[in-house]
Amino acid sequence: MTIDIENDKPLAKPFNFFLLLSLALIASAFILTKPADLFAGFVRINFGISHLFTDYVAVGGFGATLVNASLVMLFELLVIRLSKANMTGPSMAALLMTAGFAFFGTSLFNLIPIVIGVYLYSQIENLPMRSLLIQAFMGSAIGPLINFITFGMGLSPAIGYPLGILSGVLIGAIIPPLSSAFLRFHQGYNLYNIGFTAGVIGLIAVSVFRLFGFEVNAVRIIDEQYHNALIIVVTAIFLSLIVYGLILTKGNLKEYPKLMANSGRLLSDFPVLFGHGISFFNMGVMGFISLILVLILKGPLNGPVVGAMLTVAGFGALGKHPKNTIPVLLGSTLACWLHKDLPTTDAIVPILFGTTIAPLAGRYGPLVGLLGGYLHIAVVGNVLPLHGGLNLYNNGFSGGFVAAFLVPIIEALRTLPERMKSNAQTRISKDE
Amino acid sequence: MHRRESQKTSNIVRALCQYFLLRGGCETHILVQPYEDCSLIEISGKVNVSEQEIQEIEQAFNQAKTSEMEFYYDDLISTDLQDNELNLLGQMIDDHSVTFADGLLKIVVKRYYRED
Repeated sequence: MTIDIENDKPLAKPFNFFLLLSLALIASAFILTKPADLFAGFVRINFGISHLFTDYVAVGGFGATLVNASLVMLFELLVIRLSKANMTGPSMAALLMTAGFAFFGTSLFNLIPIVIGVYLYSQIENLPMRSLLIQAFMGSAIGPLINFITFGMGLSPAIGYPLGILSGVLIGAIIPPLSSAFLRFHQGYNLYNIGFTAGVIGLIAVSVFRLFGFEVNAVRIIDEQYHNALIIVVTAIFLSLIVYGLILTKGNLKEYPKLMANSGRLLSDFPVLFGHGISFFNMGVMGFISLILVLILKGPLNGPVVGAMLTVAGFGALGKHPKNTIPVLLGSTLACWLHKDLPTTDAIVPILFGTTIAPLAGRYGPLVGLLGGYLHIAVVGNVLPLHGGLNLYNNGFSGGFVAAFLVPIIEALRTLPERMKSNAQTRISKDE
Repeated sequence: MHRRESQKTSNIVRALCQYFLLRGGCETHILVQPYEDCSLIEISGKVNVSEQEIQEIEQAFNQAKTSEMEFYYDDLISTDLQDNELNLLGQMIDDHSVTFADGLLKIVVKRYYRED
């Protein structure tokens, strides 16, 4: 059975939901902000540095950030439509994730060159573009590199713009083969695999920059004055996900326990496995879990935190559910409670993004999830300087190392009694 | 056969073979037939599987084929057929038949090559 969007089969349905969501965001922006301010803010968002943490709410204002998130989603929907792709779990996760990162780092300026690069790769390799959409959209993780070359190196616009855009196209063209190769590194237990790929690209790029005397360091531009407004925005989004899920399932959630029994390891394409009704419902639930956690911890809501919450919700279509996510959240929270200033953005963001390794809890149980979350907090701060904040999905970079470290050890321990028994039997046979 | 398609076929064969070996298959027969437009893979052997596992295979193989994901995720099925890899394999094939009688499991899968 092959699903075809052109025949209006079930997987085409979410397209309209995301289209409406984008339009609702842009409409809200125009209601809340004057068009002239929106335009000025949008220009500031697109044409400036964007590495971690550049809160676009602080840079361009609340309304312009909503416009940015909306346009990023609309552009991706256009690419999905043009490439005749199905709306599967990875596409849905990528849409919400990049919309989330459009609150702090992703913009049309740094997304489009990467999509063009991935498209060129698809032409060179004779692959349909629809098979590379995840790399194209999530490849925007390394988008700040384009902004840095264009605006952060002190180059004249005549050199900076072409060089930055060309770099983005080249990076887009190398992301597909790299991301496939790195997937094997953590065996699919790190959901933000492109984040790991972007981390390696960022590491190499920053090393070369430093070789030539250019220093790249993470920044901290954060605005927390829109806390309440952002609560309303995310609540509306998560609520709409749940309501749409309930409409599609007609209130029948009997498949939900089956979804929660899934480990979440890649590729857990929930819409394909369980239908999109349940997947949308799960996305909304995941969003609310992250929102409630942030509110319990009395954390601030700003661009990066909202981006993290939308990412958690997005991956409710691709591997995350309450059962495999909560243990990791608890492990990360515990680590931050013991070792960091808990209610700050610097602690809240990695706690939420730490759920990139949720499949560890799904496969090996809550204790491993707890340990993974704890380790993630330890590792994530140490990998940030490696790419100077140029990789937006820094937690995916860290998650790759944590998963690659834990999985072989746990597998070895898990099968140890069986292997010892087998070895003992072999020894007895030899003695006889 | 295109190099990429031959790699996918070999990944499917490797995954199915491992599935049989992990379930105590002591004499497993594999037949791979590449045609112009598809590959047919037949694997059979005595294994220790329950009725529930047979149902799980059926369920996984009955999934919709989503060609979008193949380029990126297909290598994940080459490790061992546990967890979601069975589902992933199901998403890469177009047709299948699973029979289990007298301890002999026979799986036949067909994969049509990608159309650009």
